[in-house]
Amino acid sequence: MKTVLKVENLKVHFPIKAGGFLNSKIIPLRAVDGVSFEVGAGECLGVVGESGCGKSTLGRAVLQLIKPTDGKVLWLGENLCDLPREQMRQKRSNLQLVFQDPLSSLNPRLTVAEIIREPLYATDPTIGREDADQRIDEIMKAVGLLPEMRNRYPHEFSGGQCQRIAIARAMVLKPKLIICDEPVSSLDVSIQAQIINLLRRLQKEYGLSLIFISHDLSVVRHLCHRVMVLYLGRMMELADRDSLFAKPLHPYTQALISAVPIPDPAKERAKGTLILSGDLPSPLNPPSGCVFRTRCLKATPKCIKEVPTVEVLENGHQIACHHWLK
Amino acid sequence: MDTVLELEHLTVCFDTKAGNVSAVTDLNLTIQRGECIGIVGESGSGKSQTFLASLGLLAGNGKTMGRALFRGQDLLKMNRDELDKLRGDRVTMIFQDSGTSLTPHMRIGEQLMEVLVAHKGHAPDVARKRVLEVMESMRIPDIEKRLTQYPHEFSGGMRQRVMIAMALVCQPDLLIADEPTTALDVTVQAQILNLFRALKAHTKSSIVLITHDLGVVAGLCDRVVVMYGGRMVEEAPVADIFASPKHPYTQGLLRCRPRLDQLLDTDLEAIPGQPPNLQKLPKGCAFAERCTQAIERCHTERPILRQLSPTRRAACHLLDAA
Repeated sequence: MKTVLKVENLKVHFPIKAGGFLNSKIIPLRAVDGVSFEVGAGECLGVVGESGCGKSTLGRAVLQLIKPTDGKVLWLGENLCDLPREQMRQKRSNLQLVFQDPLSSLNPRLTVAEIIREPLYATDPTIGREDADQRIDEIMKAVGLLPEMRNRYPHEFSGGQCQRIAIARAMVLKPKLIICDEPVSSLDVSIQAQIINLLRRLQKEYGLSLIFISHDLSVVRHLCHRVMVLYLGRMMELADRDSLFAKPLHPYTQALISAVPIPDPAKERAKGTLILSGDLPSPLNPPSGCVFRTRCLKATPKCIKEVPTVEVLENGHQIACHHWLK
Repeated sequence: MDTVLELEHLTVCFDTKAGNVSAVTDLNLTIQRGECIGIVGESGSGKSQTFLASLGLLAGNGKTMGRALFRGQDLLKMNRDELDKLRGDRVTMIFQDSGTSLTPHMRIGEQLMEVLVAHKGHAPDVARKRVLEVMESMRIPDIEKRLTQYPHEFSGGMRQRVMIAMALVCQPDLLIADEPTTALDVTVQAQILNLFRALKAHTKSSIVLITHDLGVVAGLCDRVVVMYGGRMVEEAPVADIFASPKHPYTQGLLRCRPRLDQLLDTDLEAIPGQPPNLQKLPKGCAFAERCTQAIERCHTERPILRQLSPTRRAACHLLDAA
């Protein structure tokens, strides 16, 4: 599989004003702190973690919607972080984003056709009206919207249909990579499956690469080929789906997987959930050493002193933990 | 049996610009002492409104009909004073968004003690002792310090624990939890669900758990009610609803989610279509247009909720034929 996107040691730090009125100082909030990964052509990479782990920031930084503080984002070998604005704009036809809340990501004063037409005009102002209309109809059909709906406004649609419009808008430029940031979390359970099936189909049909950002592990397991687990801006584990879910090596991944309730009363009651103590620490003041150590069941003094490096195992499984062998 | 809450023909209507909208229609449900019952449905299914209406917490344009008997007394006939004596004491409710349920300018300790002072007439030191006891059972570390803090100093998971503690200080007969873990991360959700399990084992309170997550129901509830379009479509003991769901909607709900204990390499079995528009409910079964098994009768005649066995009820024409 050809690698299309390569992210190296990506860092996004936000300057935050801290301290009192007289002794205020600027400290960095390390939203993403040294994350590296690759995405292959036609591959779906899942990014999971709890709120505040930096998964959305990571998605935006890859698309340069937030300027990374450090690191490289190589798209087909070219570092997007170095590109001037205009050149980056040209690249955007290949790199698209779908957001969590479909209704607020659509302009309420534009019709569906106008929403989907916007990116077409933005990348090619000379495109003829008929060409544009034809492409709009095609993509509307591909995402399961009736072309007759083209003159309606977003508020006339349900959440699931709005998400289809957002996906159509992202797909109309025939991008090579789409980053989906929690695309089904705000939808009703019965509608989620429709959108998941749609993404899965589009991904296969168009050979799309997907970065699927989600906190829902069952959905990620269903959809993704490889999965990356983030915690407090750092990568904890990255592996292909089957080895990650069958044999998670990182204590955090183990706890995450064990915390997902299983819809089967006998299994759910017998399984014995690994309960982590406490909450996510503040990213302004992350723990020294391994960021997960304050909630980790295996933590030792070594974890306080040393930041674990990412080890790459034979099967490509990546893990950042001092004690994964234990 | 010791019945705590009995809803009889409960109907909830809202007077809107677009006309009268019925959020809950003709709901009959009894909750026994010590029982944990799960109410499952999508947004707009009426699962929250049922209990908000029972406690007199509807929005201004809402109207409730029928009866809601709490230990034999009709809650819907009570005036505000009578309700206030019960609410927060014998019946308590916790909501999804714990951040907006706490008073931002009062210390957590004061807020918790206020409940006991108001309902039980406890002296502050007695109230404080009980608050400490409950907070300890919520496994909140460093309680003494925590009690002097304000809600914004608590994380989402911690605030939800405070809410549960507040709901429990008076040892209520009935605790209604409306999506208590939906806004929380999975690892924190696991902590909170663990608390509910301990609560179930150690108290005689009945629990109503309103949720859209069947996984949460599986681990906690004794009995499950599934709602759709404002009506109950199925009711069964928890093991039965997962092992042999009778209503096509329940079957669809169980099949449309990917599960961690099964790996699918095909598409998910999505339920087609959209949730119903409560302003334009069809004449027949509300689920008929999304139902893959629908027959002609489903579109013309509304199925009634039938008793299938002593413990199971469902509303579907297909079950009549069988």
